Amino acid sequence: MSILQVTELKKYYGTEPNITKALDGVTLVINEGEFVAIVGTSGSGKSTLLNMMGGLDIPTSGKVKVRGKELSEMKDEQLTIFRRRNIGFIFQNYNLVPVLNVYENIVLPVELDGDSVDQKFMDDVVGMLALKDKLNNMPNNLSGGQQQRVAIARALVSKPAIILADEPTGNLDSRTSSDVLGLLKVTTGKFNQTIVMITHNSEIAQLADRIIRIEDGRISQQGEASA
Amino acid sequence: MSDILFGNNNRHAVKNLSNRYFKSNKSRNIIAVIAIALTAVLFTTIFTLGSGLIDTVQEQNIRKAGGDGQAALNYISDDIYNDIEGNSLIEKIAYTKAVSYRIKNEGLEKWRSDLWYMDDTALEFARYEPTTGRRPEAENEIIADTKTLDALGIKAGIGETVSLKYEIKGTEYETDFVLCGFWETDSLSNIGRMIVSKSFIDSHSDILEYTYREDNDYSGVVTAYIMFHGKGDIESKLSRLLSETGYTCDIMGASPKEENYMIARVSPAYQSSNLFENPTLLISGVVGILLIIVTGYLIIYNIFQISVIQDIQAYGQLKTLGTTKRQIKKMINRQAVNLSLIGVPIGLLIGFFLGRALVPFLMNGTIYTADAGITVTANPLIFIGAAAFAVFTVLISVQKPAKIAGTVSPIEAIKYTENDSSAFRGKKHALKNSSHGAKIYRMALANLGRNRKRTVLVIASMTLSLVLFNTVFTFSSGFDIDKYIAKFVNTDFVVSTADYFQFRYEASSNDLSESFIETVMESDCFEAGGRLYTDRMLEEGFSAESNAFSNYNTDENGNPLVSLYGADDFLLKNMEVVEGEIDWQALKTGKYVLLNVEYDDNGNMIDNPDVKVGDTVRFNHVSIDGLSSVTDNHFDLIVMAKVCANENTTTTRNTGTTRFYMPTENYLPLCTSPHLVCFPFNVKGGTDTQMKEFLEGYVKDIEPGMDFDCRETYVSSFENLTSLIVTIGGALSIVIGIIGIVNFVNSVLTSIITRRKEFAMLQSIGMTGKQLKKLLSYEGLYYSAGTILASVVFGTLFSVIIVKGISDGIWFFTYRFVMWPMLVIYPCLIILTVLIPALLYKQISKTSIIERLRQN
Repeated sequence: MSILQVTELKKYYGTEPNITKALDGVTLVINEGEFVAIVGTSGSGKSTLLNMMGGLDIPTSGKVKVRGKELSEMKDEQLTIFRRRNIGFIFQNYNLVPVLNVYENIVLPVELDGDSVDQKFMDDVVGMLALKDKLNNMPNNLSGGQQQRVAIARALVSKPAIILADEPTGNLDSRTSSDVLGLLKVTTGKFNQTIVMITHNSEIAQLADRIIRIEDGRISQQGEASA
Repeated sequence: MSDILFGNNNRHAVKNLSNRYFKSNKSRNIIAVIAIALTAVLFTTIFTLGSGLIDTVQEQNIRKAGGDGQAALNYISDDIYNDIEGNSLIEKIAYTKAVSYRIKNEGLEKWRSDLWYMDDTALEFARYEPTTGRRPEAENEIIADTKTLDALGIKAGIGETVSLKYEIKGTEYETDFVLCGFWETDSLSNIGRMIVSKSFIDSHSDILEYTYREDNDYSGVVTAYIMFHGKGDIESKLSRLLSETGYTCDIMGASPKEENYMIARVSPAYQSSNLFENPTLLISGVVGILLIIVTGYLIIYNIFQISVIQDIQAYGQLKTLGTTKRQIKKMINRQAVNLSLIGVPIGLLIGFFLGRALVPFLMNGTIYTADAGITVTANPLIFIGAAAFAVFTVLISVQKPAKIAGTVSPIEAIKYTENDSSAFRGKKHALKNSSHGAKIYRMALANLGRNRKRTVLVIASMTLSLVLFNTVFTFSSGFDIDKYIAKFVNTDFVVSTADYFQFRYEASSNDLSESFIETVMESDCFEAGGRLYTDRMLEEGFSAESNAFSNYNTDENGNPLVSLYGADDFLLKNMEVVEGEIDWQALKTGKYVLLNVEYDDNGNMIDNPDVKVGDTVRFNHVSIDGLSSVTDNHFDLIVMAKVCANENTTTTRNTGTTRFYMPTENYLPLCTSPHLVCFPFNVKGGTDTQMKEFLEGYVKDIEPGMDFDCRETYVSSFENLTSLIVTIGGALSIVIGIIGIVNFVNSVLTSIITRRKEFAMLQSIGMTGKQLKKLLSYEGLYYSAGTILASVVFGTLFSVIIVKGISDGIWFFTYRFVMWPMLVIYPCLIILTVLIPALLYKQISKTSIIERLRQN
């Protein structure tokens, strides 16, 4: 069952003749529970694609549908609320709120929605990510790997339709990177969570179920990771 | 700057870096310029007020003294003048000679004007130089002030004939003068003047001989006004001048009986009891300056602190590249100086005009008047002083931030985020036990803790203005109008002659008319009143045979003259008994007398003659004729009690002598020709206005020689004083309040700019713009809450300890704890602090989340 559909997505910057085509007609479908890696060189348009999928950026043309809802039809406020209910983000530089402790950071999206946390689910996630004894720590007191695990927990805890991860291991050393990614894969597998991850590291991309390669704003290659 | 160790010149590099950082900090620069300008505004306002006050007081004192001149030698002869004139201590000396004090022309009964000769220096000193026409030269030429001409019924025009009837030493003369010049009468002057030429006094030297010592006649006396060389103590210069020329005066401890005695005095305008030696004024000045330094420090320090922390990574980089601590400090000081170069001149200009606008209010609160003209010169000292203090404040304010920038660790600085103080070797909060979750209001509170110093400074800055504002109103509302007025009039109304109210009782030839009193008593409004009688000083008097009293004027046996009054019961009963008790029956026997003791404004006894209740005092009745006096009767009276009698209702308002009171019926037989002084009375409740209107009509139409005084006169002078405090204090608290708000805006603005990326991230994980604004408004609300809390605590402490302490020294002050001014401001404060952050957020929300997320 498809959870995210991208149709003829275009993002142009500037005007003729100095036009930059960051995305130039991307069409793809992502199914529930899939772990997709988007790879490409720097400037290929992969981050732009991810931002469009998350409704952070507005396309020049084309459509993004998440759970059957067309993002471009939503107003700003609606979109934000839709985002916090359906999309989880993991950033390269973690982006934790420095004044909140680990627990507060994790539950933030749920609380912004005025919901109460599913405590059992929370315990499961925290347990799997080995954050149980860190809940009272402040972010600046954690290592990079630990901070990224908190970011993963934060993305998971609101049970979004899809998690978008932008170079989640970009700031981590290789050993920690594989630990974090392993955890990401295991948890998403366990909770049947859909995940789209951007990376420029093809080794990391191998962990995904499917790899989409982007070049000059277009999909150049698509296929099973193992293929 | 040359490096001491290597002798290389790195001035260019530091200057260049400083300028680049300066230019990259636009919004900080604008706010810093505003802050510096406001600080300079405060300094300039204070200095302009001070300087304006001093200038105006001196100017008005000179005019009141009848002219410039540091010292005056009164009632001297031409011989004495010639002895003194050439002395080397004197820079300028003015010569004036009285021609006649008795002008008989009609129209001069209500406006007194004398006939004098004055030389050019004297005309200049007295500001009698004709504004139209020229000085008199020919024998028949005269100049005069406009009010005198008006009283004489002569048109102010060159060539008009001025026919004068005047008396010199008992002989009446009549002369037709030609008006050759005139000048506008000074509004402060209550006396007019006509001035004749040198040729007139030369040709009349025979009748203008100096006879003052023999017959006390003023015609022919010379008064000289002196300006000494250099500055410094006038009194000692005057003493030196007199001793060098062989004369003596009071200040040298001489008595009028000495042969070489003269009446010489230092002009009140130059008396040493000037404003600078007034401790209250000096202390208020110092406190004001300190307050401004603190206010300026709070904001300028905060601006630079925030700016340094924002740029901390850049400073870390510079250090990595080898910039020394000293060079970084120099960079920041340079930026501060650059900002001052813009802000201080703006502040000086605004402050000068603000100060000049406020001086009239200040004057109205003093005994000096604003209507008579305010002197506020653009004294360079005002600007130099204000600029120096403003720059000083800026420089001390940036010292700490400069030090922070200089001592930052290069490695830590790179990693620095706002809530991380490790770059400055501060302590780090590792843990926060909380399972409350991430509520917006809790996040907001935590955000204020990220830069505690900033938060505290902003709160302190806003608190300061609130506390000051509250203090201003505590003072103004504590002024007790009843206490104030009771000091001046203790009855609703006083009626008497017009002369009496112009402090000319002794010189007046008319008396308070019985018809006036009768009319008042017949009025429906009238409740109770009483008559006050005394003798006429130039005709008769009373002396007391006792060493307990002192007076320069004595009877022929050397006994000091005293004032003996006869008062109706209404007045006697209004007196406050200080010592002893009044037995009304005994008092009416005529064997007793009440002795007045003097109190100062604060209720401290200043003159209590060494006489006990129950002592008997022997009084002499003295008949006076010119300079000779004869004792022709004596009687003994027992002091029954000591009382405190109001000076404005139970005296001739013209007295420095010891006062005694007895019932009217016992007094009248003791006096040859008793005179009715005044008639103070009360009206029935609520009829004040009615009575006032009635009296106004009466003295205008029926008896123009009479006049009255009432409480209301003092109400308006009281209101002037209150408005002085509210206007000046209010203006200063508003400027300080603006500084507080600017401080707040700067803090919020910079904190929003610093957290742009964080906000974008929050939005990316689902925080709506509304929620973000709410977060910011909560932060603002906490600033308000902090300010309210701090202002309540400090405002209360300040009020109870300091304000109460000061106000205890003010006699007409009743301390009341006041909080409403702050309560009124609080809602405005809350609204501002909630709105401003949300408005500022709008500015950054224009850039998209993605752009903000990408920023580093």
